[in-house]
Amino acid sequence: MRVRGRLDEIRARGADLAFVGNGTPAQARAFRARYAPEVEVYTDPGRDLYRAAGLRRSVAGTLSPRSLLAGLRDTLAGHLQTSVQGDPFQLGGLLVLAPGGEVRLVQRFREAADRPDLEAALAALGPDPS
Amino acid sequence: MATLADLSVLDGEGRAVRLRDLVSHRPLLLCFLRHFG
Repeated sequence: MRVRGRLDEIRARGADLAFVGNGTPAQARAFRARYAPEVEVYTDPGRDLYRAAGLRRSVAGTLSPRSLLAGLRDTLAGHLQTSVQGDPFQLGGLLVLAPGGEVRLVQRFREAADRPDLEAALAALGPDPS
Repeated sequence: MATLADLSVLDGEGRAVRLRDLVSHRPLLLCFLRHFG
C-alpha cells in the first residue's frame, strides 16, 4: 500500500492509480472504503487478468521465510491480517497500461514479501512534471 | 488478437469494466493485490 503515498506524483504525471484484487465485488468495495477511498478498486475473481499478466500463484512464495518474517513484522506494527479475501497463494504485482492498451511495464512478485519498484512505475507513467 | 486491455475487471458493484476503457484518457498504474484481507 506504499503506492498510495505516491498518488500525488502519479496524478501529476497525468495518470491514475487503481487496485485489483481477486475476491468478491463486496470485498473490493469494503477494501476501498477502509484503505483506499481516493482511488478505484476492482476485482478479478476468476484471476483471468492475473494469469494473462503472468502474475504468479505460489505456495512457496507465500510461505517463504522472508514472507513469513514480513508478515510477522506487519503484525507487530499493528497490521494484523485476520482473514484472506481471495486466493491465499496468489502473488501481486504492478502493471502500467497506456491509453490504447499498450503495456508499458509489468512487475511480477516472486514472494509475498516483495515490494514494488515505484520509481520504475512512475517513470513508465510519464515524465516527471517538476 | 485479444490483448490484456481487452480483459475486464469487476467494480465494487459487480459491473464488468474493460481495461481498454479504463485507460482511454490517461495511463493507469494497476496495483495487483495478493488478496483483499
